Amino acid sequence: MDQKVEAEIIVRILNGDRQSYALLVEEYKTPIYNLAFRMTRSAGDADDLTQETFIRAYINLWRFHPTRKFFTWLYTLSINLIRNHLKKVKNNDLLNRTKNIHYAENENQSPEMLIIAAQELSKIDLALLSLKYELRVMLIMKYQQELSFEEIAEITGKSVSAVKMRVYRGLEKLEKVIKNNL
Amino acid sequence: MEKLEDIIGMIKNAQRMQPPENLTQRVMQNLPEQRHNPFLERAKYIFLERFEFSLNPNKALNGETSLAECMVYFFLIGFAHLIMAVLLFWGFRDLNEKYQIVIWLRLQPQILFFLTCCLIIAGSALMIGRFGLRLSLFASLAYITTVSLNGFLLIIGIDRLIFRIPIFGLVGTTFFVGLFLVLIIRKQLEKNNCDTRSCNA
Repeated sequence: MDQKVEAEIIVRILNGDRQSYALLVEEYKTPIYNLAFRMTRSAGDADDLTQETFIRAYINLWRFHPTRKFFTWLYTLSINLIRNHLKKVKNNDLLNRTKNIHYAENENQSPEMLIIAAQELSKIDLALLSLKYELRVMLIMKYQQELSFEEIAEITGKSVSAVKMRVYRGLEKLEKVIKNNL
Repeated sequence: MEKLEDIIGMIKNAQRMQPPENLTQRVMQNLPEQRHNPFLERAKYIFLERFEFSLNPNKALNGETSLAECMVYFFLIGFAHLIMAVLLFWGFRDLNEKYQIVIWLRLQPQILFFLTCCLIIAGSALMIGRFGLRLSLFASLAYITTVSLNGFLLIIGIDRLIFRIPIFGLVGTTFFVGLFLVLIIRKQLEKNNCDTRSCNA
């Protein structure tokens, strides 16, 4: 979505046109949901975190700076929420989720969705879980979500060179893990 | 990086998930009914839009900041000078009556008040377009000249080396502060020239 169009939508929302917010949700729900799913390995948690991200964004919309891109701001909110969520969930739980995929907890999911989610399990998913949060989120944003280094730098508040270095380090670690353990 | 291409490919090829279809609907249903004071929020939105500043001197030196940020630098430095002027004025009150001190030293509070005025005028002028930018540049140059001249006169007026050292430090600091102001205004002028000529450089 064009930044100008987004700014117009935001002005409309701030002026009380609540329904316009659906346009932004529709536009960004897929990348935010995917990011949350990749990080939590749970469709239920991804669903909750995506909802939470959009609700938080709506409440704090007046804080959004119009010179920024909306989606980078949204990503920043999202990765903070995911980080807080993961602090509560132990790493072992994440691994169990990945191995067993007990999606039964998520009653809203259709059987097709569960099958697709099950097929998602691969070496790379398990290897990603062994990385630290920061490296994992950067790798996912860079290669799965195809964001530029500049955009990731804006989202994470780090310099472009720091992001590049972390992404490279993450890839190296990932390669080691895949070679040694899987 | 080439040896890692396989890993990159594996991440890229991971299947993308589709969020539940009713997600948007559920988000819209769960939005809070009333946000607090939409007028205030709108006002803040407009205010932030016009007065963006992050106080990053590196960005300011590269001309990557707004005029509002430059204005804040002028006001902050002006405010620091004002505090110094008031403190010196207060401190010299009794001193002037009891002791014979160097005449130029006595004038320091007045000089600092003058510099404060220079900085406040220069900062305010930034809001009136291109002429304001030139005025600010002129005021910044006047600031540098005044602090350099003032420092020189103070240093030659004081005999003891021990007193010269802190004065030298203060003068040096203010000189670099002035230089910083000149440089950020020059960058803003270059940016302004570029905008009026619609160039991309």
